[in-house]
This record gives sequence, C-alpha cells and structure tokens, in this order.
Amino acid sequence: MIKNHKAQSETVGFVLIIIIVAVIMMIFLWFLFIGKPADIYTSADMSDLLTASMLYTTNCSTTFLPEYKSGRDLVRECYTNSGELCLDGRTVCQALNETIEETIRKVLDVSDVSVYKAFRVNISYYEKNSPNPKEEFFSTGQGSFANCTARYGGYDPINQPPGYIEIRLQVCKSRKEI
Amino acid sequence: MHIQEMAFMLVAVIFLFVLVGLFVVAIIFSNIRVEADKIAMDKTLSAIKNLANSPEFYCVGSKPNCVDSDKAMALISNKNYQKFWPFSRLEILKSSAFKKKESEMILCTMQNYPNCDRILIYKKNINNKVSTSSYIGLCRNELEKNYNYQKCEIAKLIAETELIETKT
Repeated sequence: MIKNHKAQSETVGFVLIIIIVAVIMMIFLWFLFIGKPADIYTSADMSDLLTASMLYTTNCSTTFLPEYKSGRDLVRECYTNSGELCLDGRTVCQALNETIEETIRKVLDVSDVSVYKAFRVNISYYEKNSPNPKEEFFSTGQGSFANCTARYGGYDPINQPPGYIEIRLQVCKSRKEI
Repeated sequence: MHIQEMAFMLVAVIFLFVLVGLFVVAIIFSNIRVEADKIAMDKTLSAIKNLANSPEFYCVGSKPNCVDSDKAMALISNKNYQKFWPFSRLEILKSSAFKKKESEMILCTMQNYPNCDRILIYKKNINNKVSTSSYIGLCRNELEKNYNYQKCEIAKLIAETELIETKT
C-alpha cells in the first residue's frame, strides 16, 4: 500500500513537471508569434523610395523661377534656415512636408484599406561619429502603427558638415493582403 | 502498477517531445522563410540598382539611383542592348502610371514624350519569367522661361528575368 502511494505521488509529481514545462513553452510561443511587436526590417525598397523622393523636383523656389528645389535641398534648408520662404509664401519646412506627402504617401498608397496602413518620416542631424541624434528637426507621418504585421524601414543620409542629416522612413504593413 | 507508471511516463515524454518539436519547427520556419525572402529580394534589387547607376542611364551629376529619361528614350530603338543586359524585359513606369492598369497606360514614343506613362526599353517574348522593380528618380531636362533645368519625379525601374527550368 505504501509502495503504491509512493508510485502515485511520483507520477503526480512528474505530470506536474510536464504541465509546468508545457505552460512555459506556451508562454514562449505566445511571445514568439503574438506578444512581441512586429519586426523592423531594413528594406532596400524603402531606402530607394526615400532616395528617389529626395531627388524629386518640388514646386518651391527661394530665388527665381524655374530654379526649383529638390527634396534634398529642402531638407538641408529646413535644417539650416527653417524660416526661409518659397516664392509662393510657404516656409521651406512646409514645402518639405508637402513633398513627402506628394511622394511617399501617394506612391505607397497609405490608407486603412491598403497594404500599407501607416508611415512615418523622421529627419535628424547627427554629429560625426555619434550614434545618437543631436537634434530631430522634422517629423511627419500618417496612420497608426498598432497591429502591424511587419515594419519596414529605410534611411538616406545627407552630408551636412560638420555632421550629417539622416532621413528615416518607417512603414507599417497591414494584416490585410490586397 | 509499474505498467501504469510506464504508460504515464511514456505519454508525458511524448508530449514533451511534441512540444519541443513544435517549438523548434516554429523557430526554423519563421526565421528561414523571412531570411530567404530578404536575401532573394536584396539580390535582385542590387542588380537593378547597378543598372540605374550604369553610364547608359545615370543622370547629369551622377546622382545615386537616378535615371535620365532622355537617355532611356534614346535606348528604345536600339536593339544591341537586348543582348547586353541579362533581362528579358526592361521598362520604366512613371509615377503617373502607378495607379493605372497596363491597358490604360500611355506608352512613350518620340512623338508623345514626356506626356506618357511607360518607357518600354525592350521586351523579349518569354513565358517563364520573374520581374523585380526598384524606385528611382527619373530626371529630364525641361525648359521654362528660357531657362533649362532638371525636373525629377519618382518612377519604378522594372526588370524581368527569364527563369531557367531544371530538366529532370
């Protein structure tokens, strides 16, 4: 009888250990697939889009027509002289905001019902050899980054002695595949 | 009683192995598939990026990822380049074409350029193919108020490659 009771206790103990291991595994799996935020992938496609949008000829000129600024020129001027005006009265930073709207939002077709549901552009100035931004001087975006299946990021650096300006684009891919 | 204990033990061990197996399979599949897709994408994209920076396409001032659309137009009727690049189709879609169906796009010719959507440089008739694309800056010289300047827009460079089937 004592031997039988001992065997029963051992079995119960063993089953308990198995249950504990199983629960730990389940928690691990939950974190692996559901619990953690979406991965951020550095995408060559997004970096190319960003580079192309910096080449884009805007409708802002600060000197005479038709010497229009490129997206890259506007980024530089928004950092060095944010109060400078285009000939039509907008500030260079407003013109930059409209350019990003015109290029990235339209090209990616960002909306709640499309593949890309949100995007964010952050532009910062970095000191040379410093990993941390000295100053974030511009940011814009659209949509919410909640429930992204994946986040894609691209960046484009602009030389601005003594440091550099870095433009970062982050895009949220929706769960819906269209 | 020993048989009962053994049975419990066996069930528990199998359960444990199944869980560990599931865990390992989940990790392997989630990582390998993502990595494989990423490597394949990067490889094909770098091929197109090299193309955009080649002398046949690059813009004045050698801007990175920039294609001179006047140069691209000049390549349309040049059949020598069909053998020069390892692509079965090469074309540029202007931003005006992004939301249009292929049938609605206006093909660029010397007569309608630059008021068109699609610069088809060449196309070979091949059945088994895969296409890749990359965003580029598409620039051309524009004249306004007797002043010549470079006007750039966003476009997509699309390259199609023939898939080589393995014969068994």
